Amino acid sequence: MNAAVNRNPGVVVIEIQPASLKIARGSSYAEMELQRTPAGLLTPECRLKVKSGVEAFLNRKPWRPAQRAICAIAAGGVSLRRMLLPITPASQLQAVLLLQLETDFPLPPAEMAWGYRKVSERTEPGGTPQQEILLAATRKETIAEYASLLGECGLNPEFTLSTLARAMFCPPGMYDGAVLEIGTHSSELLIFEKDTPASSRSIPWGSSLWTQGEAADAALASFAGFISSIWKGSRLFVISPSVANAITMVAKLAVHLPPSIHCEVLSAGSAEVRSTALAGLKKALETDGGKTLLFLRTELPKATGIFAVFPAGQLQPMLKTAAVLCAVLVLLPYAEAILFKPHLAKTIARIEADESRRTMIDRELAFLQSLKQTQPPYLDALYLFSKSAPMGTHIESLSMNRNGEVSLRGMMNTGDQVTDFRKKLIDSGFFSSVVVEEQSPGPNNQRVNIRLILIWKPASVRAAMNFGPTDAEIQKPSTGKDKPGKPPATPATPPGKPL
Amino acid sequence: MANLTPRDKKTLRIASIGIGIYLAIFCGWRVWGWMEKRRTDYRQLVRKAEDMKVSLLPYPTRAETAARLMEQFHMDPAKLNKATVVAEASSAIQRAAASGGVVLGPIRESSGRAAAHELATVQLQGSGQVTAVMEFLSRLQTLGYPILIDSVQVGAQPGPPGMIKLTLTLVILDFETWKSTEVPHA
Repeated sequence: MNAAVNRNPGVVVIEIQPASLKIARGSSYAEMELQRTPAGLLTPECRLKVKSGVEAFLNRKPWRPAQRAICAIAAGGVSLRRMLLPITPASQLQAVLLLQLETDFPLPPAEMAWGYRKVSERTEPGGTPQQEILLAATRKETIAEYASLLGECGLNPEFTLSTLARAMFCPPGMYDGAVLEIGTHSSELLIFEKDTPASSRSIPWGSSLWTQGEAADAALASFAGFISSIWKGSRLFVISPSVANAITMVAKLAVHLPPSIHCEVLSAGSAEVRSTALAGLKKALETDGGKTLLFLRTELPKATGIFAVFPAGQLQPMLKTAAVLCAVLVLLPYAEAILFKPHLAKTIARIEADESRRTMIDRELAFLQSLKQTQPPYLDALYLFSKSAPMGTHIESLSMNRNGEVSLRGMMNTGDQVTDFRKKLIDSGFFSSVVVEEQSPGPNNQRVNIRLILIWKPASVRAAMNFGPTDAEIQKPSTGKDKPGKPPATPATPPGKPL
Repeated sequence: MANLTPRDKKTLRIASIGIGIYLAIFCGWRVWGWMEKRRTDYRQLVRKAEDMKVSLLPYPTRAETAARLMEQFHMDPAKLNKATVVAEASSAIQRAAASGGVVLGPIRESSGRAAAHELATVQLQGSGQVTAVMEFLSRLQTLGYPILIDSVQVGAQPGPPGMIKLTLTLVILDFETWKSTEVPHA
């Protein structure tokens, strides 16, 4: 039994009798007394009491979805019968059954809660194939009242018969047997035909009559007589929450029943259970998830709008949840301000405290960038002069300043070399102005004295150019040193002479 | 205490409800105002934080660039002491010249122009081989001091082959008076 509970931890099982409601989930159990009006409906006080009792038992959070509940109702007022129908497709069976209901019952199907279970298929010799259906039907109000009450408690109820739940304990080969459960004030009898349930009866006789002395014998005799009048089988199984009670009942009943009826005790799984119907429901859940049970269904008028989306009794909690969410939506920005403001203020204060560090970074960066950009490119200029100067050039003096003004004085072999030198300096793109301020022939017209004034371009223009020596030029002097027999690369300027 | 009549009870009930409603509205209004003020303050803080976030965005790059330049110049401007930087720079220049094979002649120091963030101007003369002079010129930028070469004069020097005479005017910059980026024409 516990295995069933463990496999279906969310399923609630309920037994509703005329005077009591028993509810169980897992190992939890509760029982509530029911008060009814003369019409058989629950009194308003009883309804409130049951609702609070069930809610307390479930301890369900409002936002949780409705839980499945399997309810076993008493056999009183429920008609259980077997009928033979021609074999029809499953899609048409419902319509055929509706026609049958209209024929067999005094109420229209719309006013009934009903359900069916296919029992067997057979073909009579020379006849058409037929299917045997077990049908249960009752007044819709009976189910609707319970469904409404349980729906308000957050349950999604499905209804079956308590007699069918108890039949879960029947051994195979019942044939024309019957199962009798003797309650305190009433009893229920499930009659089998050909090994399957055929009908059920509620008998207004219970174990409370036993305490009435001589009248008890008379009542017991009439009870036994009633049973033998409505049932002609041979094996009567008596089931009770207590096996000991069942044995006592069997002993007493056997005295008054005809000798052809053999009385036996039917165990509900263990020696003591709180309710045989609840035990049967749990066993059905354990066996196949309750698929073999016959469930009564109602064709309730279809709800529209928002009521069609939410089951009865769940709309109010949903609306409450929506209202709470709306309130949270409105209050969240304020809560955010109250909660996060201290942290944010602390973070901003910390960042502001680092302002001096950022100022220092700015100053250092500006200073270093300025130093880099204002550093005059003296070495670049010297490199260009050495690269552009023709062979035999003598540089007597070279003067450069930070403003980019360069003055060069020297000697070259011919005037063509001066022109070539000047052209190379202009082509280098380094200088914005190259002026040969003086070019005069030397003694004997062998050499040309020159004086150049140059101005290099601004740093922003020079930044895009590359004037430095190439890798090959850098490697050249070291390569020359390594070669044996070659003189070292030293300037060949004689002492006291210009470069 | 006299028993209250149903009329008195009704009056008291209505009065209690009225006072309750008044208090609920009054207190609710105060609470709402307090919460609204907190929210406004918080939103201002959030705006300020967003502005700060934008202003802080370039700093990782700036810090990285500054670190790279400091490594390139072998210099941390924040650690320069205005009182001693000229002496230290002069000493470093002389050490660099001596180690590079440049023989220094007279060195003259004079005060720089404060308007141009100059701490001092150093004029020095020296002589050496061409390669030594070139190396000396290149090392001046990486001595670890804000030295700017104002002018260079190169001329012939009597002596061994390859010797040249060098006259330099150096400017030592003052970091402490540096306020903003100034990029003069160079």
